[in-house]
Amino acid sequence: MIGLPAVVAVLLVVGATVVIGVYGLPVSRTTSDFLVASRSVGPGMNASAICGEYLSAASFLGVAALVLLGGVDLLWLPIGYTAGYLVLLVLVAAPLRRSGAYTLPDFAEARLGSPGLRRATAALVVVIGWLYLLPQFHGAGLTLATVTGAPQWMGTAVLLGVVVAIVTAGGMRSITFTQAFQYALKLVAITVPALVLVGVWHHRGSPDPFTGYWAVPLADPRQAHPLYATYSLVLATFVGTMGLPHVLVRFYTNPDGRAARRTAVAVIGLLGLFYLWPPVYAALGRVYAPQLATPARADTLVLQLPVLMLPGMVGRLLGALLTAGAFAAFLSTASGLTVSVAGVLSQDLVTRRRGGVREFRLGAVVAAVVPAVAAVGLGDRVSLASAVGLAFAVAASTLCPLLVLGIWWAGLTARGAAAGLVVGTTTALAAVVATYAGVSSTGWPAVLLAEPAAWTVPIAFAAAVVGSLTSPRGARGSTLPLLRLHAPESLLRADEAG
Amino acid sequence: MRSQLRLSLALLAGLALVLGAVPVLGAVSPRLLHDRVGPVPVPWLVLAVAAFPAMLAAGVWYVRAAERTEAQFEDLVRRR
Repeated sequence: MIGLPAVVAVLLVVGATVVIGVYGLPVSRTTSDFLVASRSVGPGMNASAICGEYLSAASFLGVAALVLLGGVDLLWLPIGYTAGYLVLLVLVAAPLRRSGAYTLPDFAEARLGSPGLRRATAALVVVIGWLYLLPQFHGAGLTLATVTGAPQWMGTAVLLGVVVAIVTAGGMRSITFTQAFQYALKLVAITVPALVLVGVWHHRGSPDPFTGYWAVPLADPRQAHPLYATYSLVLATFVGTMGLPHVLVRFYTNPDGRAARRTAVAVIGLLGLFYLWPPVYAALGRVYAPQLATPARADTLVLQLPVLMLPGMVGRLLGALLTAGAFAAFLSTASGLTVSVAGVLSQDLVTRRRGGVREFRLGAVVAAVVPAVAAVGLGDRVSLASAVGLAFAVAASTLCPLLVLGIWWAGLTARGAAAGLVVGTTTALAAVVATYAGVSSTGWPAVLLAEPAAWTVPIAFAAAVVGSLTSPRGARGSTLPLLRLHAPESLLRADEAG
Repeated sequence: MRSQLRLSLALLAGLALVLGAVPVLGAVSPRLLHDRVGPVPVPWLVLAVAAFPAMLAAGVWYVRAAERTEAQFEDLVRRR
């Protein structure tokens, strides 16, 4: 337990976040300010903001936990979290910005001209957003309980209050500055303690953490089909990133398609800097905190390691720094997701009237309260990185086919897209529910359900293609809308002028 | 647009090839799995460190190529 320094650290993070949020307040006037910061954010700032938002509880605490539990095979997780942006860069970044949409449902309707599809996409954005928000609220409760001994619901409640306050006050504009600041905070908070702890480890004679099957790829005897599990995990993270609503919305805030590409490349660099460190905590945890290597306790490894290695004030201060970073992670991810879900709720699902600021605020409250309540209800049944993995798998099997085919294949019809969404949603969600209910715990069925992406993603793509090809002739699309997505801005402007 | 698609697919194929090769490499040369650089085993070095600059380089290369394609396309349209 770290106690007082950790409480001060959390208060500082919350305070700084609110101050920066309020600083951005006067400029949030229109719906465009609230939803996409009026499309005026440069690539460097935007990339920091994307990383600030993206590095969630799963990255800050969950990656180290899973590597501690599963060893070298789980190093694919941070690679996938980063490579997702490479896939996003080459397949969707520039065309999506050029589509002129505000949100994913906007894109679906503009591309396929179907209001029904728009509502289906909106509902999926909400589902994925909530699946991703759940572990953030759980992580906040877990963190506060670990460092101060407070009951778990308290951390969740603190996070809920701050997120709702920030989002309803400023929307996207103020969040951009807040997120960029929080990326810097997270990077410092994970790097500095790691360097100190590696120094301590070296000073104590460098005991070897890389022992047994833990250190050797594909050698874990508890995993029945490691090769399949690894590749399925890789696929889910690679193509799931593009379907995450809080990530996509950031690409709409770029001034143009070129800036959207540059943003994605900068994100890959910034994420790489961060992901160097979680495996370090896992390796040190192998030596100094083997008692935490159980599914229920591993998520607290990063928070506890400094105190376990360095009794006394230095350990507690480093622990407080990590607590600050973890809280920044929950706060930034949760506010970004809340903005995205609130935008969709207020524009598409709850109200019929489009785009009022009052509706957006109401949407924000609903968007945050539902997963917070669920997090308190589910308690320790949530494992941070696995819960986020489910959100990735659902996004990969549903919104990814819609985006990729919508951008690159003129033949996609509304009917085909609907078929893809229905099949992707049913199979991915069924696998998620079956895993949690413990339907099968051994052999192939268990692996296929726990890591569904390798079969649900191809099935969803196939359904979309078959649905499109069997559509009546009149419903087939033309290449015209695609041209607009892929033409450079300078050409479009010239056309309008001439 | 077709050349953009070709570019994207080329990069994705390269990515799949490189990533697919990593586990195969271990199967071909089991010794590599246990070799170390300093205190760190080679697979850890490849997955936890080397993978990130490699992805960054691929991204930079793609942006250059994509913008070159767009510039060529623009020239083509303007000349008519």
